[in-house]
Amino acid sequence: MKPLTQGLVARDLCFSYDGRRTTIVDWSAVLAPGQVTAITGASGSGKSTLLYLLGLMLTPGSGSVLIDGERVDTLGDTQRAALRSELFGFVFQDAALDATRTVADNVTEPVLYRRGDRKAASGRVPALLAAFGVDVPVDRRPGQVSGGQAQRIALCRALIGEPSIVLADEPTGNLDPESSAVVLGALRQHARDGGVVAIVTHSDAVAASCDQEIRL
Amino acid sequence: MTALVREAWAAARSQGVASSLTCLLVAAVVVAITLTSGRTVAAQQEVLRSIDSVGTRAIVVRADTDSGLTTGFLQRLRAVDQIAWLGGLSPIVDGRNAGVPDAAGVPVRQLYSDDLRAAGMPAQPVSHTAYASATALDALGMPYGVGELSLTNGDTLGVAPAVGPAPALLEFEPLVLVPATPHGDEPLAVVVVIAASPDMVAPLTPVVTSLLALDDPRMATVSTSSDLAELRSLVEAQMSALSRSLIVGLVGVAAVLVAALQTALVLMRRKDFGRRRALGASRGFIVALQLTQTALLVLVGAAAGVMASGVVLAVTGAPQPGVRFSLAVTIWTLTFALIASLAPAILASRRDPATELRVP
Ligand SMILES: Nc1ncnc2c1ncn2[C@@H]1O[C@H](COP(=O)(O)OP(=O)(O)O)[C@@H](O)[C@H]1O
Ligand SMILES: [Mg+2]
Repeated sequence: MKPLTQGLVARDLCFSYDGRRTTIVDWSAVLAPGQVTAITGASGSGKSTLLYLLGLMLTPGSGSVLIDGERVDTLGDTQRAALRSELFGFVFQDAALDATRTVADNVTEPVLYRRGDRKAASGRVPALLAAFGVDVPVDRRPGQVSGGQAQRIALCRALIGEPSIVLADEPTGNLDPESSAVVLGALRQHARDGGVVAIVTHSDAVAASCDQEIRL
Repeated sequence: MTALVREAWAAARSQGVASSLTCLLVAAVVVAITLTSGRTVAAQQEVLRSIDSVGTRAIVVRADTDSGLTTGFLQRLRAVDQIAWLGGLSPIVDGRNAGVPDAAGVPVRQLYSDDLRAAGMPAQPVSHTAYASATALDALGMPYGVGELSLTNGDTLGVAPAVGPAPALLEFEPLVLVPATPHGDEPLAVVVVIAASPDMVAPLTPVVTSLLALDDPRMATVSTSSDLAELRSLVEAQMSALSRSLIVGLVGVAAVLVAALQTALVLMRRKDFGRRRALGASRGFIVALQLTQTALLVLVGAAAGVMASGVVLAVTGAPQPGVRFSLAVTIWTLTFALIASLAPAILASRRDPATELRVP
């Protein structure tokens, strides 16, 4: 991992999907390296939208997103895609696995986009899965795993490239308490290794265990 | 690059039904083209080849019945360089199948030539035997190439099959030839001169004309292959125009179907493209991925089509259009399919992660 120095910073973000209702209003935050940030709020309050803004998939109507002090929200589409592949690891609200591909292919997908060695990455998949307690053969299709396993496979996919920033949208939503603990432990460890970690969560317990909580 | 191709291949394999359908479609089109145009092209190539083998090197002298042209002309031509083959045909005598009363007649000619093998006869021909081409044997009603021929001048000759077509003499079919030795005074109706190479035709023609030595030069015509060369280009132009429009039509239809299939697939799998974009794939990467996938499927389908039509043509004994034709059809199909797949590929590349990955 290439740790950031200043982390991911949002300044006065505003965003509206339709130009009338504003989903995000003047939102500012500093997501520092080494810290786990919990983003909480009611359903429909804009938590996922915020992660897409921070993850450079949506462009804010106003305000700015900075990585290590450099403005990145104004970059072109190709450059933002390159940053997503190089710096970010994403866990989406549902696992969003490719149902037609093997578990190994799913986990190593981001390596393809950052032009890494996918074959070498495939070799690391069994150990990574085992670390999260996912006991399925790597040539299994996602249709043959449980929802909780799928979410942990998605987490493996987010972490395989050792990204500087991990944005996780309800990563423990589908998990039993034991698996939740494993996942949170891994994310916390990732922050300890110097990563920026943000978790959207509904759980007060999860939020309480994080370094900072931002309520929407 | 190889990572892209590998991913495209894996993605194609992971949607087996759609990919097989694409391959099958392309294979069917290649088979259709090969069995229609390919056949035409093969036939065209055969015509052109037979024209080329001698036609473009031939000088043909045709003399009227009482022109006074004799085998002495052949002896004079022997001294001329750059002649690959030389043959003289006597005036026609009608011949009939002796075993069949009221049989149709065929034209029988004496052939004077130093090289009988080039005319489809053995170097040492059997005497009192007429050598008949397949067409002539058909006309005579002698499918097995054996029988007797009775001529209108009262002679009777044995019949033997001539081996293969003698391209230089094709235009005189049905061919029934009786090899004969010239003494210098036998009358001739036709003399065929094959030049050593096509570019020798022009310098040879005045030499041949000057050696005719007729009292009245108007009683003989000398024609060269420049007419044939015209015919050749006509044949070539017409047939290739015909097959080209056919190929373009079929390939166009295939390309549109491939594109429709791809569009449906992209719309069905929009979430997958949204995910790829979210994980860092650029738009260019997605377009390249989709086009590579199309290319792979087209190549597999075309290879299958080429092999299948090769087998069909071989079984039916039809001529094969050749590697260059198959390659050309493959390249055409590939080009059209790639152009047609561009729109669905761009559609795929513009899936928005925030929209596609949204969980209600
Ligand atoms: N693609 C979209 N187009 C229009 N409105 C959207 C879209 N995605 C989300 N919204 C709206 O934006 C608001 C915030 O949604 P979201 O960020 O998903 O909330 P949360 O993740 O906190 O539940 C909701 O009112 C939702 O209806
Ligand atoms: Mg959400």
